[in-house]
Amino acid sequence: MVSPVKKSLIPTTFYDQAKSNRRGVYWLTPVIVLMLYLGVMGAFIWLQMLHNDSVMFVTIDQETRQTQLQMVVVALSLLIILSLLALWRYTRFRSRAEAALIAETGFRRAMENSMLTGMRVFDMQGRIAYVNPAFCRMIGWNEADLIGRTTPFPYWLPGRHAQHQETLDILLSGRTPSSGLEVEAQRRDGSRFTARMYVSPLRDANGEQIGWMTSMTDITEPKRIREALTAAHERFMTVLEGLDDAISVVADTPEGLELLFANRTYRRFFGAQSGGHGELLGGRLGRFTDETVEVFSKSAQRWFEVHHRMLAWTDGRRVRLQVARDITERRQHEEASRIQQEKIQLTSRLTTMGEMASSLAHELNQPLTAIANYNMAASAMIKSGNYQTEALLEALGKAAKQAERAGKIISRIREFVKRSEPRRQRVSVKRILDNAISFAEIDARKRQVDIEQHLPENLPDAMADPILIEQVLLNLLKNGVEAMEQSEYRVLHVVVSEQSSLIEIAVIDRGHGLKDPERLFEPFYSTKSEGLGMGLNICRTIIESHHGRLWAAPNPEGGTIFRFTLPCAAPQSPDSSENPQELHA
Amino acid sequence: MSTPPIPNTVFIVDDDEAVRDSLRWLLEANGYRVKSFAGAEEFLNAYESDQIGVLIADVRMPGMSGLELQEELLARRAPLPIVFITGHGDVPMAVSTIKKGAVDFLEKPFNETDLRNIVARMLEQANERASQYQAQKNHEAILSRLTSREQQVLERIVAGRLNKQIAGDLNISIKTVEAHRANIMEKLEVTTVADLMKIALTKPEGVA
Repeated sequence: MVSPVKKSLIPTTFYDQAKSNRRGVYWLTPVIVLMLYLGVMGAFIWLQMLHNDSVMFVTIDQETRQTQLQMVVVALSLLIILSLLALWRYTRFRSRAEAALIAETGFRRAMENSMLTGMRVFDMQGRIAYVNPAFCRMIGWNEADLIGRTTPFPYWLPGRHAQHQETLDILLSGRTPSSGLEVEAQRRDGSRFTARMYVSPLRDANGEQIGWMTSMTDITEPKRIREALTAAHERFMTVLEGLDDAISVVADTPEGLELLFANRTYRRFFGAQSGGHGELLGGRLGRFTDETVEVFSKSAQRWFEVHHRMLAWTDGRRVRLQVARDITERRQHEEASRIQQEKIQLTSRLTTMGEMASSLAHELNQPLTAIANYNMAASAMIKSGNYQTEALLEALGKAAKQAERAGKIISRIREFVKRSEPRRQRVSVKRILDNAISFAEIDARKRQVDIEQHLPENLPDAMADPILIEQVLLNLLKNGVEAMEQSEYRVLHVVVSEQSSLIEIAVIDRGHGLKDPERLFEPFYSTKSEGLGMGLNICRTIIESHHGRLWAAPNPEGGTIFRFTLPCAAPQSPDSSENPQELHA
Repeated sequence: MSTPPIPNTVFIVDDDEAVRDSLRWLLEANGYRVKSFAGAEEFLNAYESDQIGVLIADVRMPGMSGLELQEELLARRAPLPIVFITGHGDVPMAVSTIKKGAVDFLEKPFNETDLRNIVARMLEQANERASQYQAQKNHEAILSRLTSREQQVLERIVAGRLNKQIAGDLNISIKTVEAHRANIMEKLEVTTVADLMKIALTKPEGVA
């Protein structure tokens, strides 16, 4: 098209017309014409009458001519009135059409202004012919700055004009895809945005194309949101995938478990099947608590700490979430440290027995001597031939009793030093006391010290590992006996008392006393020349592992008091009263 | 089994009932008379110092120990050989007891032959010691018959001095010395100087 910018394309004219509201006076023109006409007609009739008055007689010819003239005037008048009526009607139609057009235009304009889509029209030469306020807002340039502009447009990104030109060429050639184009633009303040642009041809009243209407939507925000969502999802997935915990979600289906989600750790251990989840459920199907269980997986050959929870899945189904942490190494460490601890305790017990070896040997020698004596007596009787069967049997019976006694000593030693799993159980304090004291007495006798125990009646049972507590008690008793070797007063007291839910056992000596009793519990601190300095340290570890306390304090009467506490066992139900004996036997 | 020639008593002192009882059975089966006691004090209360026998005692006992018992018996001058029962060799203890006159040790568990030998030997020794003790007692009784002047003379005879020298020492005449000498020979019921010497010289060995 060669024509310059068409005025009709500039919206201001419509706008101004709409502003001058003359719709109500469309009848004014016909009325004024009618008035003028009536005025002329009135003047004409008045002149006619003046003429009649002044002329007394008229010729017939004149009269005929006059009548004809009047007829013509009347006809003309009627014609004029009809024309005026027609004009009035037309004006009214025009006026209504105009009002409708203005209303329509206003509606369109309001629509155009209210929407966020930026509208822009290119003429066939690629000049901007129209922009709407949304477009102006979008790019920050005024309408006046844009109308009539040719390439390069001010909103083009600097340095990327070629690309923009290419887009424009596509646009002007009508090859724009119906799904629109994604374009980038720069605002007046330099910020950039991304927009999706749709194009449709603009035609004039004759249907001839006069330009291209483009609509642009700022998709920066949706794009940002979409990108943010994607990024958030990616972060979330990265975290989930990066977790060392095996996370899986399954749904119960009639065919079994359906794996809905599994992170990488899970897939690494179990593959993308629901088998691992089922294995770690450990048969707890349907039973859901938030408890944590430790399960060994045979397929992965590892230990897991497993949490289970029911969840509402995205589709509303109730599903099982499982978080399984690989604790194999932790368990190995715990196991190693437990074994280490047990070894230390065992070594300590062996050491104690080693220190008591000579006393124990003596203790064992007694029944052996007796057995030998009884046997020799019996054989002497037989050899002499002068014997009574009863006497012989009595001697043999006595020998058997002594063998039993020796066996008991040995089994007690074995019990004390054998390597056993620590067993926390309900146990009678008296039993522990008796065992420990019978050991300690072997030594005490040698050093001529008596051991006296003071037990309250109805003492509740303790919750403890009897061997370990025996070990602690024996250690304390031995220390006490050794401390009192040079003393005047030679009775070592063991006092048991009950204190709320605790049982306290005090070993009270009247020995040489100690300057700093707490130092005794330090490793490798010993007051004995041959001591290793580990005994009391191990004792304290043992008592603390029983949730008790072991401490030493000076005895006001001279010497030292060692005390330790043990938790009481829960009150016993009548039917379980046999248990401790069974466990102990 | 041949019964021992002298029916003497074996005293057993041991705090361990089984050891004590079994030892009693063993010794009785071998024909000894046995008296057993659970403690040293109990034994001392029952023992009369002229009883002949052998004491088998544990070294380590609550209350009075074996060593203390040994000292107590020495103080009472009881002619009782002691055999100590020990669990295991304890050299300083053994030396100390031997110095004080313990004759032997029995290590637990006992060997029957050892036990029998020791007990037999000890009893023999006890009897020997008892008869020696008896002889010494007689000897002392005889010596006590001498007057102090006669004892002075006897000392000098034993020392090998001549009558003349003795007379000079004591400021008496030779005649008087000869008279004392005759009296001594008569009182001690000896006829030769050699016999006299024998009696006089056994004197210091009497006290063990």
